[in-house]
Amino acid sequence: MSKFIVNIILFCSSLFVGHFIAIKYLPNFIYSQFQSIALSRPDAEVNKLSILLAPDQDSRLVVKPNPDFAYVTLFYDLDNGPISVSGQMPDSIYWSLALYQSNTVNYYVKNDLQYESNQLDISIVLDPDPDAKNEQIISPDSKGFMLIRVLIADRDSERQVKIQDMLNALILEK
Amino acid sequence: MLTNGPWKVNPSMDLKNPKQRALIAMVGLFALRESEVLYYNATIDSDGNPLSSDHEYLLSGIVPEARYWSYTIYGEDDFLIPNESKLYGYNAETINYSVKDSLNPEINDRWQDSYQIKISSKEQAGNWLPSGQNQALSITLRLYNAAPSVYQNLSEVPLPEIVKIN
Repeated sequence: MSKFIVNIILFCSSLFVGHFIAIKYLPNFIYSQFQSIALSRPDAEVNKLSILLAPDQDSRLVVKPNPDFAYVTLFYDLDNGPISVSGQMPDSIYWSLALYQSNTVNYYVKNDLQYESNQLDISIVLDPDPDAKNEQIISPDSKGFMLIRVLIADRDSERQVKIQDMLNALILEK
Repeated sequence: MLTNGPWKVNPSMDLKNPKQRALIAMVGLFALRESEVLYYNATIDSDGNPLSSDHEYLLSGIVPEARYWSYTIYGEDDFLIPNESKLYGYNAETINYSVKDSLNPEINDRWQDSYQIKISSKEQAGNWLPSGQNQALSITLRLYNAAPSVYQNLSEVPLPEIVKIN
């Protein structure tokens, strides 16, 4: 086999491997960039709830933001034990709680109808407690991201303040 | 990816597929599963031409069969388009529905469920979405908890036309 053909095969192989690695780890890279920017904000830290009211033209952290929602975010780390989130959710047309791995896979989502009540009481755990009275959600890894979406629908500022107050009252226990 | 007029929808947000996960991380980080939300995206008008803020469009449709729905317009950077009115979209609660045309009642037998949105860089009466200047546009229609009939017919379920008017 000529040296030229060997070089072509090596080149194509490295292209293929590089392409595979890029595709596999691109979501992790995007997630880590998102996390580092989000956590660089004042008062933001791991294992702490943050609230973002309806995104507007100045919101440039995540592409294609939905301006109809208020968001509660949490970068969690279960290395020191489970995390619990509880409290009364606003009376919204729609809300949901979603959990993501650091490779962006959405491993859990449940909406208000599926919770059957506006009383939220969940724990994110690595090992479920069989005696727990609340919902135990098993995280595939010790680190991940929680995103609660609450529909605001209209931009009535009084309603937004009310929703913000309720979201601020959510309790996180470590 | 399935096509429905100018709209495209991903019928299965299978994030265990590395290629799909990479694509979604780039264009819609933290998107929800298709069982929760269907994301229909349009980057072209009903004639197949790219949406651009250099033109004006009329989006005409009827209420989708979903628990909640919304339209949001994005600039070519995939962020909300800056405008003084802070208008970025319409949803089931904020849209103004069409008024019945008594002279032409046969035009649309679902007139009470129909609406129109004008997409233009200049202020318009009624439902108006500012489109900014000199850029490509995209529109996302989100259907939250869509009816089973929608999932069974993603390519043919009635979705709005986007017609260039200027």
